[in-house]
Amino acid sequence: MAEIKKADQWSTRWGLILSCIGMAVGTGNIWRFPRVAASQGGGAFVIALLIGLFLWAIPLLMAEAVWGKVSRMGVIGSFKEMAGRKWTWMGTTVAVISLGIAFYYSVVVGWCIRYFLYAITGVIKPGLDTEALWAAFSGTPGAMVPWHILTMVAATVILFKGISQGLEKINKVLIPTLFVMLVVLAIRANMLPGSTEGLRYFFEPKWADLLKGRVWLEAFTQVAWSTGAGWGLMLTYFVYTKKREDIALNATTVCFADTMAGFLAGLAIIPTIFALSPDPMAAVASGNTGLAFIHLTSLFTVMPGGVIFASIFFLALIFAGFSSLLSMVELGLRLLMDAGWTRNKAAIAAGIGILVLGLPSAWSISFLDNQDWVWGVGLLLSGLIFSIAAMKIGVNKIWDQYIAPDSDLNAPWMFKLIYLFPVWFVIIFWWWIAQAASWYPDTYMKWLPISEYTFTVGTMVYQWAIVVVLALVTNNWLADKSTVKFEATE
Amino acid sequence: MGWQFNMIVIMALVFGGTGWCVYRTMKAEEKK
Repeated sequence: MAEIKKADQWSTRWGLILSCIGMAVGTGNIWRFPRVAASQGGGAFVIALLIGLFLWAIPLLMAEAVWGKVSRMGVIGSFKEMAGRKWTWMGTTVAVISLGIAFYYSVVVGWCIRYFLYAITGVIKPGLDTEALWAAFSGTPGAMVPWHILTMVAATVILFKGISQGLEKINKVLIPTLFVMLVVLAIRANMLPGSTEGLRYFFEPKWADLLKGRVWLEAFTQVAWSTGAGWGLMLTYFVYTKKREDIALNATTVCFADTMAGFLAGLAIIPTIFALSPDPMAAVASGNTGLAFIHLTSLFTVMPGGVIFASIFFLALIFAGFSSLLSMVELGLRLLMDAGWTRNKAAIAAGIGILVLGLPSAWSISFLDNQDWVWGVGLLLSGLIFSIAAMKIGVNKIWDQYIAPDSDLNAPWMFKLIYLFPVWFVIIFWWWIAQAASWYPDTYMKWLPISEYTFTVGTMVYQWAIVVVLALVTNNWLADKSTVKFEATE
Repeated sequence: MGWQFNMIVIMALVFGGTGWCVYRTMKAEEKK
């Protein structure tokens, strides 16, 4: 018999929604969405992405919300409660994949803090060699460690305060401010002479691109990584909801707000690049960190008022990344609370644990890149796990019993699309495997040393295999440990 | 169809979709 433990919960529905949007909107919305959208047909990509929301993200987020709201336990305990004790390992796998991301994501937020300080202290000024600055920062062992520690200390302090006084309060500030900052950046970008070329490039009708498989693959990948669907984060936040909560509408709101954040970032970044960069296409093709820390930083040095807009840009990155990181740390924290730990003890343990396990990524950027590859693609596996578990429980049953009674949206098809998830998984996963194999034609199954085989198929498969085996071995032990439920009020 | 028209359509979908969700949530909260 599970022990019932009462704790604080979301005080308002908007607090929950803003926190879930904070969970979904991350650095990827700002430095990945605009880059990929611009290179994959602009408007056609956005259409494919909106369809991807319905086919991929919304059903998964609904499933997650049901798991959290019904079981009132974190990722591991919720799989035990929802799918059955012998399926606890599925929850463990999802939890490890998301925590694997948390370990290096704190380092990424730390980068943004460092660059924000570069901006406000006047380091980002005309004549700055931004490539050298980034190489010196990311290539010096230990240079990223203090910023990683600072980020984790801040996250721990907030989670120490709990849901309504910690997470909810901070997200009510971070998320509206983030959207305001994105709007300010977009307005400024579109006032620059020559910015119209960026808008034209972004929105040039290229509807034939909708017939290209690559556009769809990129759109679905963006949906999978950006919305947080299948990570177990929405699940964790829904542990603390009131008894009646509209799962379908909340999931849809989170997905559209997440897309809007990326779109606003696109309206800010693409026109800026086309107005100021001598080679806009090189900037678009430069990768996430190359775009933010080298190309855009370089453009801020020549933009009138560049210091102010560089500061706003990096602050927006901090807010987006930090609000997502909070949800990842809360995921780990909830697992400990399910095992009977108090919030204070669990917050300190989760904070220290993620800080320590993130140190290798803070020390070596090739290790961070490897972890980003392994657990980033691992999210596809997490989504598959949720979809299989939903089918095992019964998709109709989940809609009828757990979603429909409290939902204003009478649209069961939105959840039933989860039946198609394994198809999308096979297509997208196969595409990534084929790409990775082409990067290392003769050595794609090798994995050590990680610095040499950073993005191989082997490094992914072996690390996943270790996690799944450990999850299976610890299945019963973790099922026995996860016993404490959260008790919600009306 | 020019890029400006395209921009309006895409903006209407993204901002309209988000706005619709926010509107439905506000209406639901008013009913409580």
